[in-house]
Amino acid sequence: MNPPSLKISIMPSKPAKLKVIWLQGITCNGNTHSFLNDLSLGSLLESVEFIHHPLLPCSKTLQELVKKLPKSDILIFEGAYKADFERAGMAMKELLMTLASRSKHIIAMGSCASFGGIFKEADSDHISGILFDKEKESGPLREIREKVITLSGCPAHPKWLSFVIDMICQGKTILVDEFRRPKELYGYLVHNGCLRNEYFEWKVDCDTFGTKEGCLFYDQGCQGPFTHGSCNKILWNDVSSKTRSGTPCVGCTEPSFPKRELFTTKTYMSIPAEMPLGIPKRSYLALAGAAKSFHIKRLEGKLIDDNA
Amino acid sequence: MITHELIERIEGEAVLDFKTDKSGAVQDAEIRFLHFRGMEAILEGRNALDALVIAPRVCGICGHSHLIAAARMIENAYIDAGFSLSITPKAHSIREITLSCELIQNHIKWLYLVMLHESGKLLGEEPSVALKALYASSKINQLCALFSGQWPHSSYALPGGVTCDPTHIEVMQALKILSEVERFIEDEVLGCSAEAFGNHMSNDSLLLLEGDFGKLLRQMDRLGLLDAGKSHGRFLVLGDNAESIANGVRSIADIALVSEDSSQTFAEGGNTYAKNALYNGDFYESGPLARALVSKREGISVMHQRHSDSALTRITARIDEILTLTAHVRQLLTTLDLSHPSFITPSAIESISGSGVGIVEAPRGSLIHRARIEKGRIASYSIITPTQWNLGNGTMTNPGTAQKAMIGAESTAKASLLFRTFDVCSVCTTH
Amino acid sequence: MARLTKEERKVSIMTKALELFSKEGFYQTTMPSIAEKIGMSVGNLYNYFTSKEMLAKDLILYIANILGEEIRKINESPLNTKEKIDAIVHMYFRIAQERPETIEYFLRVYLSNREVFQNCCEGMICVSAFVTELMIFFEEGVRSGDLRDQDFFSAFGLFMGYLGGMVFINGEKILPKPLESYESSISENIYYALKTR
Repeated sequence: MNPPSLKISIMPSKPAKLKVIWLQGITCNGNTHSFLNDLSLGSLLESVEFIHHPLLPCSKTLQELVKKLPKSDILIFEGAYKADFERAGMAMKELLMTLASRSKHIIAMGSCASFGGIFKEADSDHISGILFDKEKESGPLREIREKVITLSGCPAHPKWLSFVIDMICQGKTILVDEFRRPKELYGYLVHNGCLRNEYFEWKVDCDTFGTKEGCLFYDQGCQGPFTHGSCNKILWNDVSSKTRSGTPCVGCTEPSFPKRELFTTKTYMSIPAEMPLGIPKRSYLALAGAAKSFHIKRLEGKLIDDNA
Repeated sequence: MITHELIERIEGEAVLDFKTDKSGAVQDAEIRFLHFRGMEAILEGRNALDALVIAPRVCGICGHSHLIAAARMIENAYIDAGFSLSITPKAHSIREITLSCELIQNHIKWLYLVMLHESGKLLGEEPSVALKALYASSKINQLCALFSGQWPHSSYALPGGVTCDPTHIEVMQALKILSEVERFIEDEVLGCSAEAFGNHMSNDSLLLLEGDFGKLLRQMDRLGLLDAGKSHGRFLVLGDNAESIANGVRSIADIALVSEDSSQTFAEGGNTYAKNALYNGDFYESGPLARALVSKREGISVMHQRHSDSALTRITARIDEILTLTAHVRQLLTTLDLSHPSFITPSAIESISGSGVGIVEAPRGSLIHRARIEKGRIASYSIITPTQWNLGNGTMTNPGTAQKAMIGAESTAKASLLFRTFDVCSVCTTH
Repeated sequence: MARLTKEERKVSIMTKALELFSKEGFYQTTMPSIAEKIGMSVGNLYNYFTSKEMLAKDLILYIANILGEEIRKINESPLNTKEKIDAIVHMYFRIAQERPETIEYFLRVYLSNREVFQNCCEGMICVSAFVTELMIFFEEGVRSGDLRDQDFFSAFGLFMGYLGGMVFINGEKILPKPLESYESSISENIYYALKTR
């Protein structure tokens, strides 16, 4: 028979669930609904519990939350920041700053929270992300920047969030880039894993939308080759992505989102204004010129030919 | 007595200012929305095609409806400018499939995250996370994404068609997902087959249903709310089969009779950001109940005769619509002709100067996008959302649709629950 | 005299072959005539170039690199767009005067005998060094707002077709005045044709 103390030590005690607050700024709720698409939500809720969430059952309503702003392990912020924007009668400045100071980790969920996003366009001088204002690190949480993890994207993918939460739960270090985005998620480009890569390699463009063939970078405005994100690695809704469904990447994970003229490639004298990330223009043009010189029959025809 | 209630769990919040009598019964309810983002101003000045990226961000739960509305609006602007533009039956069907998916997931979330949750709380229960419902809504969103690339916030519908070029692989996967969702509806939501559900509607025996929908009805019954929530009995559908019903008279709905009233907004000295949407100068109810009555769906029509526009009828209409939509999606998937082009390239947007209207029957009702396009740029943009129809803020003598449904409720808490039967969306209402 | 490396030897063969090709044309020039001109055996020549076509291809790469290198220097200089056009025109005419065989080869061999190059020089592969630099010149000109945005080839044809044509008629001894005396008016014409309005 084992002594009781040993028995206790081999029975792993269930760790306490992390306490999470999901707070919203100026938002469309897209990240909330993106999050609800997580098919492993049940597993995630084994390790976290929501003190407040805008839609899921939680221990405090927003109204109760603002009465006594509690401590938390993770504060998830969705939406853009504006100091005097109110939730339940409390200005965002007080609400965010207090909750953030009482939280161990802060996640900027989505591009509005990260950089200001689309809603910043309405009042650019006063609306920003919580840590960044577009590229500039001038948001309200700059003094506690080390606590912030940025999950840009419009919306952010539910698995990106659950990855960060899992890493926090397990006490692991998350490597981040200059915008404090996890490198393991944003080290990739949307271009990586795109099913149209071969068309990009051989410079076969797409003369129209609505086909499986051709690369969308040359005419249709695809920003995949210079947009950070693992959209074509961790698929959307587990099955697809914008480029896989023929839609050009709109660059939604970048501080520059939303740019303008999103369905046309900006060119100067037929040359794409923006190069694939990190590729010198001279190298790109030399290679593109060479690749374009070959006519590869397979890439000029339909992928799936009903006469075959 | 005047009390203010913050209504949460509605895609943002609303404030209800209740005027109650001594017993606590609601005499009047003012509906106020305090958040505004200025979507129309963000759209103005941009290339018209940018609306296909910006407009979905009006709303996280019904952004796909905004996408389709924007696409239709631009298509109609082409036609207004004298250009021909058509989409293939395939592109049309795919848009119908993805749009229907959005409605289905919305209705499932409303049933579980809002109605079961809030009615349960009112009865002193502590509802748990409805994981099975979220699994089902995720699956239907997955079906949508097979064509739209992602949900939420796809931009796959463009003037001229859709960007995807699906194969039978996607269609077969979609059918499999659909079967799973249909099973969820029958086993969990209804607790019976679709046919048996139809019989329960005809026999007025829905309270006997064993599924979660039956549970909701029983909870509403315990709260004495099934027969409450009656409003003007005026209904409006502006999308497919456009028709209005007022005083039992049906007429073809005419977009020209739509107007917006901003007299209650902050801009004009009022207390809300929301503008009222009016049809022929009156408040009309839009959404699943209106759609069921306009399209003369049997079960709901019978229920309406018996119970008029009560909470019971309104709630059942939304659940019944799930079945109509899943059947519709199944029919579209099985008849989809993949040999059609997905997209027919229209003239360059820069050559378009014209006005367009795009109307969509969104989860909560008729959604209208209108814009004036000058040489491919958005000169002006105007959005009327479904919730502007239902949640209009009227006066004591002429209350809005949801206001009227709340007046007379025994308590403000019960009135708030009746408010939610309209499926409230804060972000859409003010946008 | 130090012994030449194989690469240096190749360049010296190419320089001689270039003269022959540009004077006699592709078909009139043969491997034996090249060998003779250099003073080496035909067998030894084949050690450097496996065929006349391969030699012809290496020559066009060689010329494109020379021109590309020159334009690259101009692209990387602090000149403005107008001055860069002046510099490119000047450079092109200078090479046409100082090393006429290079431009002649380009016009009379490469562009006139496409069948020779089709298997080894598809599209613009062999002239990529030169075309890439012109792309960069045009792209930067448009980006800076100096040049009008248009299709690359319509601009390329205007610029290079013009210069090639002038060198060609100069070679035919049709021009009444020396080539360089046309430089400033030609530069101006090109600039006015391409600049933003």
